[in-house]
Amino acid sequence: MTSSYISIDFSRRQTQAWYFDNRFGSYHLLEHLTVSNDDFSGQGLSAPFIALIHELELRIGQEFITSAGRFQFEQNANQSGLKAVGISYSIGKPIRVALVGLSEKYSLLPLRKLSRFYNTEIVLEINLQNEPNVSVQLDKITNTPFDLLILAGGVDGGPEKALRAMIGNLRLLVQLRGEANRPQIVYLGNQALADYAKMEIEAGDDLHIGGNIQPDSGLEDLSFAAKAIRSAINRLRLKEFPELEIFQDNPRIELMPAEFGRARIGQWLEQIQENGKGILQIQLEADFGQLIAIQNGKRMGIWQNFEVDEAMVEAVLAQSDRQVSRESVTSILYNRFLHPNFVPTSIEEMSIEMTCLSLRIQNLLKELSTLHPEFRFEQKRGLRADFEPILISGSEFERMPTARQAFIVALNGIVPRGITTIVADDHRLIASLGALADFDPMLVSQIIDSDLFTALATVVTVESPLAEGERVLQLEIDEGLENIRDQYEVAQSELRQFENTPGHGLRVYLAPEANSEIGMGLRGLGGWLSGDESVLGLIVDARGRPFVRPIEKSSQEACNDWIWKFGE
Amino acid sequence: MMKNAIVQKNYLLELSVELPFPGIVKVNPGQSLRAGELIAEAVLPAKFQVFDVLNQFRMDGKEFESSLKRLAGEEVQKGDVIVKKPGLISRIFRAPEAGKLVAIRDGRITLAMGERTIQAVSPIDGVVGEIIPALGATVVSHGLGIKAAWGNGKTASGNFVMIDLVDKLAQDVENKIVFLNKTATIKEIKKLQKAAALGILVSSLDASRAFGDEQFDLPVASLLGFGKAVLDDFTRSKLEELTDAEVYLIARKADPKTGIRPILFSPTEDNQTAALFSEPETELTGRSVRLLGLPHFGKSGTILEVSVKPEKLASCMEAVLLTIETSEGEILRLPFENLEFLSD
Repeated sequence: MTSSYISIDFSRRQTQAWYFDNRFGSYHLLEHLTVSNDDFSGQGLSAPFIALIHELELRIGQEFITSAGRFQFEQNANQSGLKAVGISYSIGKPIRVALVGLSEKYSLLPLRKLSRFYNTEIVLEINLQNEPNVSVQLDKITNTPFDLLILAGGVDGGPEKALRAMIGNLRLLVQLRGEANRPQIVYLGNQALADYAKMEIEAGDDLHIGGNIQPDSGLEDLSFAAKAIRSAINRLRLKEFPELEIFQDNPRIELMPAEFGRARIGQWLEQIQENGKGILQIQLEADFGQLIAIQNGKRMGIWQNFEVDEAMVEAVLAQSDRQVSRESVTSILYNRFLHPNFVPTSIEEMSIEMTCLSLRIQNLLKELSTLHPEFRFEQKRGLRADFEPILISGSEFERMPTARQAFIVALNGIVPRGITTIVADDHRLIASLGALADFDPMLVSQIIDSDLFTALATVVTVESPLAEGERVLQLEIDEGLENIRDQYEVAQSELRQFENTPGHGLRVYLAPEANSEIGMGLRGLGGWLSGDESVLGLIVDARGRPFVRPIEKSSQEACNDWIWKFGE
Repeated sequence: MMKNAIVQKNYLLELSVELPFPGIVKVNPGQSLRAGELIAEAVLPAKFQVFDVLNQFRMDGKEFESSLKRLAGEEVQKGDVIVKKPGLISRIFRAPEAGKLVAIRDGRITLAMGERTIQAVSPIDGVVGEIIPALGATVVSHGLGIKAAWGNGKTASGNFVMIDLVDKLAQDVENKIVFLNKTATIKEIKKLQKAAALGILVSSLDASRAFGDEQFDLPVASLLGFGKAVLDDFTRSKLEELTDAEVYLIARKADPKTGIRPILFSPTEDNQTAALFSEPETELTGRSVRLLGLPHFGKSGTILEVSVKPEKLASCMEAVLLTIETSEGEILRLPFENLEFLSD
């Protein structure tokens, strides 16, 4: 019997639906539909949702929802066909968060990592050690408007006094704010106080108890908080978008922030792959960017809303591959922020656009490495840890006119290390699969294995102390045609493209110079590299870390060559 | 595909006015409000004092119970005894100020003292359109609305005046909403602020310095955004009509996600309500538009033709192009996304 699943994603600018079923034996994506929310201006989330499902019904030839807009399996649980629905969202205002912890290192820092994963703005932090005055603590939490308060601290069975005092204050806060307007409270501290917190705070469904993120001295595990944080965020978004309420409390519908779904798939991908590398996901939208990294089983993430500031203007001016004036950079960046659909018409505007996107990626990487030093990103040297694949998605990549430009934006932003593959999630499947993963793991594995992702390029980066122009790498590329092998050389400061022979995957022997490293584990160590066919083929990034620009060229000329001339 | 026009004669202004904390909403739906009239009010304790009796008086829970002289919820006056530890040398905790005993938990006493009132008032004359429970209301008003691109988050009302230069202020700008008809620098805005203008609207803001971090005490808004630009004749003529009229400069921060933009608003008396259903989309050809992006930023023109298929631009991007005749007679081909409609 055919099993089918629908995934819906609500984002700020569009609503999307995916329909998967296994009528051909294994799961396939049969439909992927997108509507622009601008076409349903002022009609909330229900109108685009209904429009999408009706279109899906037409195309699939099956009814999914009732006239009241509810899924049919809600009325008839035995209805065959549609098994479950996953709902993901990346909508809503930044959530104002207050963080309260027992110490900077063991409580507040982990809480920052937790909250910055989502679309949040930290408006208050209280370190109970630095601010032991309970009256001042109470003043702070009652005088700061926030939507979500996260309290953590203490190992299980450890000291309780400071936490008890804060819990007492939270009880008062909840009473002062009233039931309709009280914030969501998440408790992630000493589990000996979990029941006490529940009874004392008396916030009903607005209190979310999670595991202790520091169950033992020196041991930090943020995964214990995931369920409670997700539940709190869901509740906040349900208040903000009451139309989503129809999707809660049904075991066949799962509702979650899109970033949660993406991280879930990232973790699964890291577990099943055998290269020992992490998974990096970058989503860039006009109004926000999100970075999720999974490294050694650990989930790290950051959300940044797009804002133009002085630092952004300066950085675009410094990194642009064109001679652009400060005035035109400021003007274009601000106007791009104010008019997100603005289309760059000239080469200069396109250069500013691409530089800005790369910088937004760098800003994400920088903030993530500040919160998680083990992520290892350096402003000038780029990523210092190995990630493969690097998944890119979002409207900002999609609006790039060519795959080459989308790739360059990603490459210049990420500045990867070693050997990696950059893959475009053109169907934005990751979040949609994340929302369905709990229902049927086979669905996720079969869809991931299908050819729905676009491999943009395999990237080999070369790091070498040699001077600009000196040979750092020799390549022997198996073209796949009657054992023809072509030999090439790459010099320091070059960015080179080697296209695939159509219909053939990548097979290349890499021979770095003695003191050059290409990510095979040792300087000078090379070997065979095989990979699937990709849009751009093999890219060798020998620009150095930090970039070594040709002596005779200005920084702008060098950037221009790297961006526009590679692959010619 | 249609966009809202920049200049709207029958613009429905909706302003949400909310308290930062829950309180009591003092208005009803449909109620007429004057600018400055109270919408909602929250009365909060001015400060709290938490006194840890067990620790301070070195007593146990039982002793604490018997030492308590007041109950949770009771009002107290300055000097009232709240806890008295008996003994050879008795110890007393008195209320430091008048207030209320809001909690007695775990040997700690929490006192709320004094009152602090937070009010949400209407920034405009209007009618209460919707109540936001415990927080405030949405105030609505009809009139002429001219949308701007950038605002610093502040609002003011006053009589409208237009000037072309700041160096020699030919007109009195004191207590006025001033429109500076040029690309304004920070220095010029500061000069107008010093001359006691109530609010400043400019054609565009000088982009040689970023404005985002600049703090001004008064509302500042830019019609076109940032960069050298000359305001189109149509918008300028609408602004001229407002000379000496009472206007609101609602320099709220632009939010492209929700479509909220700063606005110069002049209420009208005719109370014509917005249509129940949106107007059918009009033809694109013949409509007046304002151009975004360099080098034509701020120019106005008329749409002559719309391309059938997307076309490739110098930037390699593809877009549906519109043929525009500018007010200076130039013929340009620009993407739909790089235009704003001047009027309905």
